[in-house]
Amino acid sequence: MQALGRFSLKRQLLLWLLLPQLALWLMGGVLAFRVAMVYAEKAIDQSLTQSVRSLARQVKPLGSGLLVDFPRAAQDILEQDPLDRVTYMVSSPPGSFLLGNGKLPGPPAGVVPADTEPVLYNLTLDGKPMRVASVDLGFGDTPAPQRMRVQVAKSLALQQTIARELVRDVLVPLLLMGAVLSLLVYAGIERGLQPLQKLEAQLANRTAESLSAIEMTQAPQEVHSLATTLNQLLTTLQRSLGQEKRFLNDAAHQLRTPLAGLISQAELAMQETEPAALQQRLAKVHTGAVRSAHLVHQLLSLARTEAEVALKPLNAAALARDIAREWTPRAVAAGVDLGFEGLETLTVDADKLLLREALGNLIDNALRYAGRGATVTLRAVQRNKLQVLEVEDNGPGVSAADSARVFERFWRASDLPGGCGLGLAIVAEIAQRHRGSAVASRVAPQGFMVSLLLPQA
Amino acid sequence: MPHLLLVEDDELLRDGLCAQLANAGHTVTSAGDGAQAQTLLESARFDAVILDLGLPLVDGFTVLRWIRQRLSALPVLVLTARDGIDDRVQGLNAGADDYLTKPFSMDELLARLQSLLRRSRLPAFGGSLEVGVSAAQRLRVDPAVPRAWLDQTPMELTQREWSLLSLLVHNLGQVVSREDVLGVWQAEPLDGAGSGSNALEVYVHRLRRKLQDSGLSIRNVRGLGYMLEVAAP
Repeated sequence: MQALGRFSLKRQLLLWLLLPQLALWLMGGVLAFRVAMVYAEKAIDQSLTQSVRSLARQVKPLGSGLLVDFPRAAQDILEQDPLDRVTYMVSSPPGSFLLGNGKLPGPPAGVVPADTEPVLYNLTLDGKPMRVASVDLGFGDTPAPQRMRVQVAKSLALQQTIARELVRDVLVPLLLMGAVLSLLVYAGIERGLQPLQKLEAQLANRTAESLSAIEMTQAPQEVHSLATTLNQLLTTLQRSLGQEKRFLNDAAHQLRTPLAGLISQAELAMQETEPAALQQRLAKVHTGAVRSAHLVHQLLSLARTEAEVALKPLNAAALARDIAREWTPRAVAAGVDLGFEGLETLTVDADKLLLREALGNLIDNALRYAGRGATVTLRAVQRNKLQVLEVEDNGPGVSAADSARVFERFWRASDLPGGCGLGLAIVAEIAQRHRGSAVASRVAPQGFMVSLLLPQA
Repeated sequence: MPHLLLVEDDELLRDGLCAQLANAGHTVTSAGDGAQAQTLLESARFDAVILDLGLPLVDGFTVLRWIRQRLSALPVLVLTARDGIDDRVQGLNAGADDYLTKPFSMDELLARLQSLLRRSRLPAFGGSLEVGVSAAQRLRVDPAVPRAWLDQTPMELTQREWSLLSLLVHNLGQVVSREDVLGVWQAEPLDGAGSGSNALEVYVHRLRRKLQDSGLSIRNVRGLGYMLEVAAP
């Protein structure tokens, strides 16, 4: 499904579930082994200490010598196990062999033999590891005190046997259990990731044309919410693609019509011989060309509103005044009194070019439709915690029924020449781009007003 | 008569613009590509260049930079069919004095060109800033010292009246904001009527009286400023 080395959910899950388990098993095994060894050593030490004490008790001073009262039975017990032989030695003075079944070296340097307390140490005898208990005792009368040493050694083979058995009895079942657990974890992950694979398969079969919702009836919660989010995205895409298609069809119609008119008027003009009629035809050609130019500009700016924009805080009141100043010569030519009122500063998060386009469209509309002698006012105010930019005119306005439709694309309130029905649609689009809205209202006693309601920066 | 260089590769548009600019009283030489434009600029003196940005051979941006390196004072009006602010800023940074997006109306092109020529002549002439109302009536403003003439008759102007009038004449047909005027005045000594925006109205009122019967009027643009305009005959 995925190339090796790439991030894989399955691999990550396996790694995070199995690696800690493996570490735990290993640690458990080592710990169990160590604990068992310590207890085995303790048991050996105890029996050695006991043995050395009992043996010491059997050695009694007699005159200037020693009497070892070592019954046969006790000797048998000490020497009974041929595999796990016990070696003992009595020496006096310490180190000089007196009695026993083998020669045992004294405690290593540094281990100080205490009186009556046995010391324990390891040594190797005939290549075999041994554990030794050794006790030094004093005897004899005050004028001639003497010392003797009693040592008992036991092979460590027993301890090693215990360890081997522990490894077999504890670690092997642990490893088996681990293997079974790993298999279960693997199967669980496989099973858990199955809905994702199903989702992938569903998506893989799609083309740009089939944007229907993904079916996820029995998916687990997480995959379900992923699929729901994807479905929302698909729905949005479907809607915007639909809009795009409709817009393209509308635009094609709107563009072709004035061009067809232009061609026919130009052809008529070419056949015309009378200067006055020619003049008339050419005037129509000019009107058609201007209309097409306006339409192309509007269509392009509509397309631009759909691109990504970066909003930056700017003084919209100052921008509005600049735009109004730029439009003043045209307003004067159209016989309209264009003015500005409101705040000096109105900060909004905006794309300067888009906001300029929106306000330009509103002023253009007002100049076009309010008529000669009208008053058009551009206003920058704060209202209900919103930053408001609006253009009001005292022209004929639109009917109440029509004011609901003014933001629709290609909808036109009047058949005055020059308009293409996109101006206010662009304004609404730009308002949305700024997380705000555009509202059209009728002004009493007469007039029309469009307000851009933008959130505070 | 100003001599213009028009650089435009579209033949239909070049032909149309040439004819209309000539009708408006300009002498026009045209070039169809950037290389030809460079050759022409090296061989003759022009008062302004109208430059299309999308040109074959040597593109408009290159020509613009080339002009700025050699002829820094030559006014350039850029024509562009490109959309979006980036191209415009790039164009202006490269040294354009103004730009127009295609398609544009001839009126607009002529107005922008007029304003470019007026601006470029201002320091070079040293003589006067002229507004022709008609063949008979002319307002001339001395750009350096507070003097102006209406039909050869000297006007009586204070320093501030003169700087206000210069600003208005310079921006004929355009709105001059209060801030623009107050900015110019800041550097000048007071002369009677005080300062601040009330004073501005007083000066405008005085100028209006002095421009009576001149064919020029100062329009009060609501909330935006003042505009000098040639009254309709």
